[in-house]
Amino acid sequence: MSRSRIVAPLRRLVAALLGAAALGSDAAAAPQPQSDASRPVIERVEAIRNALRARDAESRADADAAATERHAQWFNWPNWNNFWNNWPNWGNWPNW
Amino acid sequence: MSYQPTIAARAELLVLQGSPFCNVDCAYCYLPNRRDRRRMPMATVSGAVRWLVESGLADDGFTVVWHAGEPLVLSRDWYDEAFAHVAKAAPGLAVRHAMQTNATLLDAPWARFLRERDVSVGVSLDGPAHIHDAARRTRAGGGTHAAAMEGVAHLREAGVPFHAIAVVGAPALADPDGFIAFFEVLGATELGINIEETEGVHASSSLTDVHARALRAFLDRLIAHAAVHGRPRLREARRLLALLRSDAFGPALRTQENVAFRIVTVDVDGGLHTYSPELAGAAVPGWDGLPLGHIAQDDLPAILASARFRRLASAVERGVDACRDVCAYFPLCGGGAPSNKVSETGRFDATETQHCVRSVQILSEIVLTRLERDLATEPARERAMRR
Repeated sequence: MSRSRIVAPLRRLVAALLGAAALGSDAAAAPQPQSDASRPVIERVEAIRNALRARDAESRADADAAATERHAQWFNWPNWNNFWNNWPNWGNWPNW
Repeated sequence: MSYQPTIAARAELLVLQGSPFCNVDCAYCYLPNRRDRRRMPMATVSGAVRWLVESGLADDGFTVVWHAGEPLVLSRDWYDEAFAHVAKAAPGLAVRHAMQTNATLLDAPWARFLRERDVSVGVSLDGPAHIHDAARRTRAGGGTHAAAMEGVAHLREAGVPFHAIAVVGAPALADPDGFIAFFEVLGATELGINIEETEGVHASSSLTDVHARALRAFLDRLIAHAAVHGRPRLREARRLLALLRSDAFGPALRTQENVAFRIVTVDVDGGLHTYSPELAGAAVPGWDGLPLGHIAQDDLPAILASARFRRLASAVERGVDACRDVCAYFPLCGGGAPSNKVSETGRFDATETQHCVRSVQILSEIVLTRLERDLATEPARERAMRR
């Protein structure tokens, strides 16, 4: 089992037990959004944005750890995380 | 109160109407002159690009979209000449070409051409034959699905990446599983969902209020499937996720269609249009469809100073401001599309339209609810949606 697979869940568990502030982790501190269509849209969206930011920070940390590990094992092994993030951006395609 | 138009620092899209003609006669098409077989003269192709460059709107990486008619009715030789004219008129700029096609004329030589010229390809497909052929028919009334799928096979064989855009109307709502299964294996890089609109000469949609519940159920199923299986990749989910992660999120958000000259459309005659490309030529109550100027006669300052542009821009601006004031979904939308507002209400300064309700509000609700659930329970789902 890779080091990141052990370290990341452990870090989350310790953060949950001790409180995020003690570890200085924004990821663990972020509240999870609750599904409630009666809440104002902007409140729901802000909660989702906070959760996404936290998730992204956590993913990056996990990906970095995993990439370091892969690099140690297989020199030049492709970084698939980077591959997916660089999927072609069709964002400028008109919406019609 | 006077309204200052919001003008783009640079154009993102130059839509060129190589020909208004289309070999297919889709029931929901907004184009008024699709029997018109004229071709854009090469002097107009050059002139359009030169106009953009001289206006200071052209920047490295702008895209020329060949649309507002079926682009493949013109020959490959015509495009080779046109691409050369574009390159010559925009020296030093990397211009990307894009085509949105019904794929019915797409054969092996076309697929090679598109690959070799690195053209971005979008295919208009509504799903399996029984859904697609309900609206996408020839003038004689025949279906076009078989021919379109042959075209797609040529793209796949030649290794040309393509995205798909599907118009979702009543036939798709009746068979969500068939729709999803079709796009799951189509091989498109991404699927864009256009909920059938009332736009241009297409004055009524197959969707009525009766369909609201069915539409919600359809989108719920589609987005859930995409989130869990990672296919089809949905343009709408990707855009919303990108927006939620973006610094552009908030009250200053605008759409590509409601900022003047972010999209520049030049019609076959050299007429200049901006905002939604559908406004070019489409006469509806509240808009005559006529150009704001002509590439050979009017420079950008002259158009910006004209009473016609100022009236249009002021109304669009009032509409965006009103949306910002009254709509809870504004931070996810940016003020809507002028073409939908005027087509549905006869006014550019309107706020909520059926298009907003279906394509922004219902869709956003479903994606947000999905995200709330998945972020709280299963992290992998969100990653699958992003892919």
